[in-house]
Amino acid sequence: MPEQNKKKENKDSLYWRFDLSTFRLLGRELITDRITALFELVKNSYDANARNIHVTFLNVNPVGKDTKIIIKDDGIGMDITDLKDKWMVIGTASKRKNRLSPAPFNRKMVGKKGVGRFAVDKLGSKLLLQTKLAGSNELTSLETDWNKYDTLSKQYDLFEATQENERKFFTEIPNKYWKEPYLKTSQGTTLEITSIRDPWSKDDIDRAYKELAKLVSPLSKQQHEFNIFITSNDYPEYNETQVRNKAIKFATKTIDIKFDIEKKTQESLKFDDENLTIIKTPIKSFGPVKFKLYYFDQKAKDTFKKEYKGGNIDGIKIYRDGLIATPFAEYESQDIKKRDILGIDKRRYSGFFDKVSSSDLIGLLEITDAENSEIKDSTNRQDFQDNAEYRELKQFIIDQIVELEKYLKYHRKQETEKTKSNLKSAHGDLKAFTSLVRKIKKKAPEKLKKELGALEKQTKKVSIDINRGIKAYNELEKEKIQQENIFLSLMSLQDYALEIAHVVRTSLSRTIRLAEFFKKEFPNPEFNDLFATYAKDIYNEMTRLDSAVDFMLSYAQSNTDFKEINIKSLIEDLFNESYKKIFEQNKIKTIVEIEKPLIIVHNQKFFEDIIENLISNSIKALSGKKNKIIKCTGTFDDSKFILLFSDNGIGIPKEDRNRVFNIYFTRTAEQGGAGIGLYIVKTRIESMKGTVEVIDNELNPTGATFKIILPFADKN
Amino acid sequence: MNTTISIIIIDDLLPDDDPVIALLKRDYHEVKLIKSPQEGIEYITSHLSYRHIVILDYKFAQNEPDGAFVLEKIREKSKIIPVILWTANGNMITELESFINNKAFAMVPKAPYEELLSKIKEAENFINNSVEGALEEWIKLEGQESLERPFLIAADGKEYTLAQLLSEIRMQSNFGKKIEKDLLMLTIDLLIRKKENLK
Amino acid sequence: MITVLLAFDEKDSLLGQYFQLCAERAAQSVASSHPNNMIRIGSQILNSAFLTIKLNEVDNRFIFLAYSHGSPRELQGGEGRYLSVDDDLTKFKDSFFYTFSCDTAQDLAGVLLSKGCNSFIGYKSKVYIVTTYQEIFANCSNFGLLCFLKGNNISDSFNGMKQNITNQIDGIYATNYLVASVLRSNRESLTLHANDHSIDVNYYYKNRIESY
Repeated sequence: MPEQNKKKENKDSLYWRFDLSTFRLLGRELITDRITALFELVKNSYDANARNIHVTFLNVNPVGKDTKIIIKDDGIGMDITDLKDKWMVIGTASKRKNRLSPAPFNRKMVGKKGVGRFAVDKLGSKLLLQTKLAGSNELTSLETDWNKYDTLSKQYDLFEATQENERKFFTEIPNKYWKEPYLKTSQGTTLEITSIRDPWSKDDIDRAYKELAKLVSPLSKQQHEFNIFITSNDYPEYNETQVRNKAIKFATKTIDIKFDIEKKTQESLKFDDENLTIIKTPIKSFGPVKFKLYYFDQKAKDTFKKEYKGGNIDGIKIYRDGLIATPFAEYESQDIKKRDILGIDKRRYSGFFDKVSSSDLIGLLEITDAENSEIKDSTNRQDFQDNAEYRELKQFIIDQIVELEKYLKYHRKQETEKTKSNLKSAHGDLKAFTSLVRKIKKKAPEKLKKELGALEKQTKKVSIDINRGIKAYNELEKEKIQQENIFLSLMSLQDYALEIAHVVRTSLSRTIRLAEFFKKEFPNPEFNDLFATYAKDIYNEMTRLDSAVDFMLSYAQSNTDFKEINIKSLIEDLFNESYKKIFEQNKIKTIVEIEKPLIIVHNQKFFEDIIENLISNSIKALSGKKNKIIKCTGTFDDSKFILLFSDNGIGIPKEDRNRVFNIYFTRTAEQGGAGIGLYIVKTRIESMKGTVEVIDNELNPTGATFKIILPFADKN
Repeated sequence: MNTTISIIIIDDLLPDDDPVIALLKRDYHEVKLIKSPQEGIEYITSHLSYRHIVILDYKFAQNEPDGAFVLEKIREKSKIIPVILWTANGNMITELESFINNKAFAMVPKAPYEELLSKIKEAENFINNSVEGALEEWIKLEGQESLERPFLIAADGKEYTLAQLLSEIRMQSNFGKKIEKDLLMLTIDLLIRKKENLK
Repeated sequence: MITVLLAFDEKDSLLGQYFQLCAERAAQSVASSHPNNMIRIGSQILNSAFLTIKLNEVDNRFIFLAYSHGSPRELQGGEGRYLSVDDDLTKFKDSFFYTFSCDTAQDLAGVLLSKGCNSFIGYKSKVYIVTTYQEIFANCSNFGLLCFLKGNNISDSFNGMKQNITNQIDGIYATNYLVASVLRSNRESLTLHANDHSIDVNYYYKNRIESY
């Protein structure tokens, strides 16, 4: 690679330089987890107009020298100039300039600015990028080895005395590249990532699939399609498996209008005083149309936006033969300038609150050249030809929306709206009012100007207050944090007594036998080894009993100390703070991936007990192993929290899967210590009405995986 | 060291180096610890011609059968293997009926182990004095092939192989009891006629 | 000449071989010790009808030997019972009934004696043989008959038979306790019913001078 152009340094100026560890900031630490990293890379391909992206996982469980992740797209690719000026430039301006991908795709760009390439580091340390620009005849390759940066960075940490002029900076590390002739007509970019950091279990790839599905368009057919395929040689169910999205979700109301060509009928919406019904009318002059309409209220909009990163609710679009029809393909960033071709938003000013606008709807109207030949593009391609058929089509669309509005109005009367949306629409109205007042003030005579000025001030003040109110709600809603309640059922007195009695009796009988042995057999040189062992055992048994009784007592005090806990933070803190040193000492790599924050109201200690005992159990199981890993993944749905806790230690034999939670079961090579840990885990979880079980191990070749399910209590 | 009797312990939580095991290993040539009740049932019922004393724990892991079930299953195949219940729970009144009907040999607490060892000795005597045991010793001399050949024929048309005889004795059927009785009667006969002396 | 009716079920699937052995031995003993009229009734003709015919052909005062299955009230062969308490047992007046069969000493014996049969040696419960020791059991089965043919009276013959079993027991118990126990069991089952204990084989000679 040619030397980075050394700027002519002005003696009186200082220049920013990037420390070597910048790459870590940009990569590993900016992107929080591997799934997101994968997502960013696939987004890059999308922005490069790729139709097909193949994501391949090779030998990912466990990781080894032959582990690879390959992301291959058939997008427009890059040549050496692109590489130099775009890929190798951090925070590339190019995406900021045009937010659409090149024609004919015109995709709204979804990738985060210039961060994608560093996402690779989250997955693995070595990258081989091979790209072929469409239309060119050479293949350009680039090698990036983040290990080099890492090693060098660490060296500098150790040797602070390195001479100033010897220190290399981030931008001065060479990355090898080369070109070779390539005569095939293919195009696109392939990222081959090796030196993979973490194993990918089947569960991990399932999660990646889920995330990627959100990127794929929910539309039925697109001429400029976008397909993602996942392959994994470790899991046969992923074999060029196409990632499919389900239909558009989260809409408050979904309407599906069809036609019947044989019966010559066109469906149409009708509000009949209470419900929205579909009636059949004769096919109209513009021909039969299919129309899918999705309405989103405020809450639904927020959810949609969160789930469909890169998706927008932006009104009705017309597709002709599966391809988006102009002028809808033209993107206009500013709302005001957006052409309201169908006249939906124009209506708004004539009857404020009851009208639905383009930002409340997603509509997909499908026409075909064959059946709807009268709908023609106008010559300037800014609109359709203004003929009778087109006018009728516009009216038809408006009619559907009007019926929807009637329905919504009726229901708005029935339901109570959330404070926030009231506030917001009030605020929106106020804003409109304020700007209206300002307009009038401009044109008003002097006398009036004063009054209007006061009015303007007042409305501004109100606006600020409302804004504050909105902000407060926003704070809550911004995070979209789920807050749930988890059960705590305390043992009944009887159960408690039984439990203690059983525990104490079993422990005591063991100890008595051990002591009896001493009493009867000591001294007897034949048994000297046994005496030594038994002495230890007596101690251990008593300690175990002590812990067990302590644990039992904790239930007696458990009605206090309830507070809000963020499970994600709690688990992450345990791994990254409390146990950090221990993991380092034991050379254990940890992977913690909790899907999103969840707040529960519960006893923090109880929860910590679960995680801590699982950690401690895994540490024991890992003793003596190489490449130790402890992995903790948490996912949610509406009704429960699912935690998978895995290690790649010695594993649990199938016949012990139930026994392992018994208070006296000892499985791992004990270096002293009671086998009470998993018993505590189970008891705590059961007190939350949850379940814990040992399932087939996630990590290969050996290991254990615990699956914990905690159900949420009814919100009432 | 008793070289003919094996102790089978069915207990899922007993450590391999428990004092009881250490002591029994000194006196009996085989002490086998089986952790799963199902496995215990299978082992014992497929080794009926061995001389076993069974030590049976009562409570196992959650979805495993309990001691009463194990005893019942063993008894389906042999009425005379001594099964000693070794339990930490004192409150098994409801199961008592099952244990008595299925003729548990004894019921002893988990600790101290003295009582267990004493009952094992009793069971050992029981086995040594059992006719079935004697019969099996003798069968070993005859050779295992003889087990399946017709051995005894009654003039009313019934025929028994040695294996069947053993089974009748184990199941304590009327015929089994008759065989036992006949052997005893012979002993008495010999004693009375002073052909043999009590040693 | 003594008249001997020899019934035996040599075709029986379980004990046929044994019954045959006993019958052969018995026949030999008779033949070698006394002139005789021996009527063999083997499996083929071991049925009620034929027996009745044969019984009609002979006069009273004969020796009846039966080696077959039995039950308290009857003797049984392949085709079913061939002699039972319900038959006309007056034919057996003055006879000596000697059998190796189960249980027949219970009821059949009693009825026979009530109809005038002189003596009955048989078993009051089940009798067993051990397949690998048929010699010994055959020996025991026929010992009483042997004694009788030698001239001993009923009583002595019976005691001799019992003593023989005891001797056999003593000879075998050390090597095969089980067999010994079976012998002993058979011994215990062995029963004598007699109207006149002092009768001996001479009583059964008929028409000594006359030849047939």
